[in-house]
Parts: sequence; C-alpha cells; structure tokens
Amino acid sequence: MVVAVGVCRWHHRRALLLAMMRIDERWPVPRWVVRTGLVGAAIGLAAVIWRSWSVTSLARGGLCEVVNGAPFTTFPYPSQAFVLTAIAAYVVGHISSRYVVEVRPELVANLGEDKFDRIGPVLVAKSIATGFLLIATILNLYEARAFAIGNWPITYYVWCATAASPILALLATALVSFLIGRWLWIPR
Amino acid sequence: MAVDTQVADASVNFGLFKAAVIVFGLVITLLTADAILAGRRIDTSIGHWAQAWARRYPAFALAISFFFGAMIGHFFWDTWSPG
Repeated sequence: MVVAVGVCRWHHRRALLLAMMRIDERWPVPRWVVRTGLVGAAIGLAAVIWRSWSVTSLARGGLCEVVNGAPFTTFPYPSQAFVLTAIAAYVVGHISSRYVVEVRPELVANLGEDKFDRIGPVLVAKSIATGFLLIATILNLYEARAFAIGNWPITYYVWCATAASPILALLATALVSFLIGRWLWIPR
Repeated sequence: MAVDTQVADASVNFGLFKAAVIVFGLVITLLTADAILAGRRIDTSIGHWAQAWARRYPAFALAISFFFGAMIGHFFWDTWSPG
C-alpha cells in the first residue's frame, strides 16, 4: 500500500519513466524491423482506402441520414470519445517523442543546425510547412464559403463519414493527433 | 421526439471517399517516404526533420497544433444528435 502510494507520486513516476527510457539496448531498433513496420502499416492503410472505395462506390444511397439538408447522425458512443481519444493520442505522441530524445540526443537540434543543416532537405521542410499552411487557409476559406452559399461544407462530409464508419473516424483522429503530438509537442 | 430523416443522396459518398483518401493517404505517404529513407540507411526520418522544424519555429508549431485541435473539436465535439 505504501509502495503504491509512493509510486503514484509524480516524482517517483517520472523517475520510473526516465529509467525505462534509459534502457539503451532498446535502440537502435533493427532497421529491417522499422522498415517492415512502416511498409506493413502503409499496406494496412491502403487496404482501408480500398475498402472505403468499394463501400462508397457500391452503395445505392448515401451512407448517412439527413434532416433539412444537414447530416443527422447517431453513434454508438458519445462525441466526447473522439475528443478524449485525440487528447490521449496527442499525449502518447509527446511521450514517444521524449523517448527518442532520451535515446538519441544527437537529434535535438534546430532546423539548419547539426544533423539538419543540409540545404536541400531544409528547403523541402520549409516548403512543405508553407504549403501545408497555405492548404489549411484554402480549406478554411472553402468551408466558410460553403456555409455562406449553402453547399455542404467539409464538416458535413466528416460527420457523414463518421456515421458510415465510427471506428475508422476514431482511427483517423488518433493517427493525426499522435503525429501532431510526436512531431510538434517536442521536449526542449 | 421523432425526427423525419431521409437517406442522403448517393453523390455524397464520393465526398466521404475523398475525406478518407486525404487523411489516410497523407499518412500512407509519410509511412512510405519513411520506409524509403530507412531503406537508404538515412538515420534522420521525416519525423526528425519535422521536430527540427518545430524547434526552429515553435510559434508556428503551436499554431498548427492549435489548428488541428480546433479542427477535431469542431468536427467531433457534440455536433450530432444523441441516439
């Protein structure tokens, strides 16, 4: 009981977490394992897209119900499940980022310094970031315009897609949140 | 209270497919690119470059995180009718 209370204290948990991170034998993960995992995950997601295509193209009617032109959807679990999943995935992404920093401190550097100073990849990284922000702006404008002129905004398609497959919507939410947490919520 | 619902037009299904392609296609692209980098024995992955970018531009990283958080909240927080 005393031990349980002690472990529950934050500084003890932090020490335990850091001790787990310091197991050097866990790194480097064999390259073939990394590559196999990445290719396997890509194939799995490609299968998801193929399944999405077959379901959406073969359906005779729409995959959700509408009321007054807007999706009317019900789900087996509350909407908060999506938000809490996103938050959890975001935190897990950050923790995995801390793990990488712990075992590979040489990767802690700003863009343009140390391992990240090659001009070609630097330009590519900056271009992708700029392009992403541009696309996000365009999508926001499209969304606002769709609401203004009465077309279906992106939000309605997302609701309809969530009605068609809540599990896939949950997976997509978790994937995106994990990547944001891992890449953008970084330890200093 | 009963609500008179109708099945959506089949034309919206292509929009659903596009949403799936955008989200999962983006992740597939990242996974494939990382697999190629791993195969070429390059020890910095796309994620490492993204983290270096976030260290160099923390305000932009915060803005993008906020954008995605707002998007998820906008899409999923209590926006549909409870069953």
